[in-house]
This record gives sequence, structure tokens and C-alpha cells, in this order.
Amino acid sequence: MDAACKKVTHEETIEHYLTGRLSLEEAEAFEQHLLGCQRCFSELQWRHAAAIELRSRTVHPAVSSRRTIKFRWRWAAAAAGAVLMAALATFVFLYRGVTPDTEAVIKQLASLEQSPLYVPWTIRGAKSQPALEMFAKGMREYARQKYQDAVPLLEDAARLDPDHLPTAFYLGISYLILDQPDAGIPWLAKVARAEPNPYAEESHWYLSKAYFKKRNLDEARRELEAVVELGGSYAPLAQKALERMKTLRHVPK
Amino acid sequence: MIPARSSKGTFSKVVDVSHDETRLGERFRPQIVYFALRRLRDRTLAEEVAQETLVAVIQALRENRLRDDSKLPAFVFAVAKNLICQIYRKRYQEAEALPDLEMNFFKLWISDPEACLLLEEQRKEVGRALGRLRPIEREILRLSFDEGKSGVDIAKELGMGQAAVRKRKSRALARLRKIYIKMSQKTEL
Repeated sequence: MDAACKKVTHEETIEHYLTGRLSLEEAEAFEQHLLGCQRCFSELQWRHAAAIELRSRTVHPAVSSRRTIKFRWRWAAAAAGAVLMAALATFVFLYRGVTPDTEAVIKQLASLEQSPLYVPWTIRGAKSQPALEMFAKGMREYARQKYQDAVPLLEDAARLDPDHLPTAFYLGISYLILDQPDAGIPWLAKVARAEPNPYAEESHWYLSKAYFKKRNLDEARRELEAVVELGGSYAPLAQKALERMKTLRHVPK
Repeated sequence: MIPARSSKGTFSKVVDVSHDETRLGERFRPQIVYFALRRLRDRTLAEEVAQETLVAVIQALRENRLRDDSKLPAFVFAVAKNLICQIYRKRYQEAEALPDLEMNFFKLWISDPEACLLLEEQRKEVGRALGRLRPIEREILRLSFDEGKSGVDIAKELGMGQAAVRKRKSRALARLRKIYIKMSQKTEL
């Protein structure tokens, strides 16, 4: 083991690299080391695999007394919350004449498992453009999952450059995540209509989510069909969603 | 094939490969794919980056453009980085440099099994090895690998001493490493 490898082990570089805690310069220096050191690269690979496996596991209840107590309370609170929610949901569904199954399917179809990824970039030497600067500010908040803060900045960016598609797209998405489909739909629809654009498929896909949130199943279906027609990477998901829609027994109004 | 060089300043000193182009590919391809995947999250694109990088590196070696052999890993990295940057430029016209990726990005990346180059069977084997560790050891590793916590933070969170955390982590890693090496040897056979 040479000095560089010892440094990697001692300073927990692999863990920090995996979890994005190295600076850009540190990460690049580490990657250059990996190109010359098979041992560290192999170490990184199985540790990455371990991280994936560990994430998929639940925490063992007997880890420590402090955590156990914390977890017991959390579980108790979660269980009580779940029972309460289920009772409330059943009442609401019965009142509205919608079966819980139907509502569960729609909720699942409306859910955003994760927000569309955005990778912020560093602009070096590019001409300063107020709209782009505002967009970059908004997207920094978006990347931090601070959608409430991202919205006003993206709104400003959209005012400065109404034709900038990424602004419209991520603004629509932010509203959707904030559970404001009515505010998000016009932005996503604007992106979906633009021709040609790299967000075509995603905008139709997220529009379908927005319509599911509004319980407008006809529009949601139309958007899913548009995704299938485009035949991209979201097409199989859209196809599955359309099939799930067929299982709906009662459509809530 | 890259023409053979004298024993002085051969690449083998630095990266332990012959000048055979295929072996050069074997040596660097996994790393390049991994780095590209980390930034692009697209396996096909990552494979393309690796392919194009190796072609460019081999070309440079054939033309004797690389004077200092010890700089080969840095050269390979620079070529790969440049290609990834070009892809970013295509994706986002304003980008002129590699992005300073956000924490959010890595949280998604690390949990994606596609991002890990190990085969599914190897990953499962690592999972089985993890199952043989003590719960406390698994939790220390999870806090470290998954949440990126330092030894100090883990010790605070678990109510343990820092030395105890360090010892348990080191022991758990040694056990995992041993199982992984054994498994790799079995796979090679």
C-alpha cells in the first residue's frame, strides 16, 4: 500500500467520494489516483455495492439503546398516523362514493417518485445574461430541493426570457412538487407544445401527473398516450400507467 | 499495436500494463465508464466516452505525443473529462466546464444499482457478506457509506466512543474485504 492509498483509507476518501462530499478538485484528484491504482478502484467498487445493499436494508432495532428508543417512538407515531390516515381516507372515500382502491391507484399514478434530475453547471467565460443568471439561481434552490425558494426565482427568469424552455419546464415541475398542479400545468403545457424541444417527453409525462393530481383522468390519459407515441424512455412507464388506469373501477369527480 | 518502448520509462512502471492496446483498454475502461456514469447517469453514453477516450489515448501513444509515461493516468483522465464536458455542452449549451455536482445528485447516483460496475451476483454476494456482520457494524457502515457521516458524527449518533467506532468499522471492512477477495478469486476461476 503506497502513501496515496494510505491517505485514501485514512481520510475516508472513498466514502466521501461516494456521497459527494469531496470538492470538484478533490474528486478529480482521487479519480486520477484510481486510474493508476487497481486496488483502490476495486475497494471503491465493493464499497459502492455495500452502500447500495445497506440502503436497501432496514436499520436493526438493537443497534443502540438511544436509537432504539428513538426508532420505537418513530414507529409508534408512524403507526398511529397511518391508522388515523386510513380511517380518514375511508371516511372521505365513502363520502365521495370512491372506492379506496381507485383512490390508491390514482394517488400512485399522481405521485412523483423523484423530481427530474438537474445538474447545475459552472459558466465560465459565457456572456452574462440576466435571464440565465436568474435561472441558475433558481436551479440552485431546485437542486437543494428548496422548491418554494426556486419558484419566485424561476418566475423572474421566465419574465426575463419567456422562450427559455428549461425555465418553463422546471418551474412547472416545482409547482407540481409543491402540490400546485393548477399553477404548474400552464408551464408544462407550454413546454409540451414547443417544437422541437428536449423536454417533450418529460413534459407530457409530468403533465399526466398534474392531471392525476387534479383527478382529471381524461387529460391524464391523453398525456400518457402522447408519451407512448413519442416512444422514448418514458414510453414503457406510460404504457404501464395506462394499463393501471384500466383497473380503475370508479372514476372520482 | 503500440510500438514497444525501451524498459526506461515504460507505462508498466506506472500502471502495470504492457503496451498492448487491448490491455490498455482492460486497464482503464472500467474506471472511465465509472467516472462517466457518475456524471452522466447513462450507461450507453458512459461506454461511448470510454471507447472514444481509449481511441484518443491509443492514437496519442502511436504518435508518441506522450513524452512522460508517468503522466498516462492524468492524460487518460483529461481526455475522458474533455469528452464528458463535450456531452455537457451538447446537453446544456451554456456549459463550458464540468459541473460542480450537488449532493442531491449523488444521493440518487449512489443508490442506483446501474451505477455500480459489479455484476448483480457480486452485489448480492456483498449483501450476503453484510448479513454476516453484527448489526452495529452494519449500522456504522451504513452511516458512513450511505449518509457520508464522519467517525465523530457516528460516535455521537450511536453514543459510542470514537475509538470504538473506528475499531468496529475497520474490523467490519476487513471482514467484507476478505469475503469480497475470496469471491473475486472464485469468479476468476
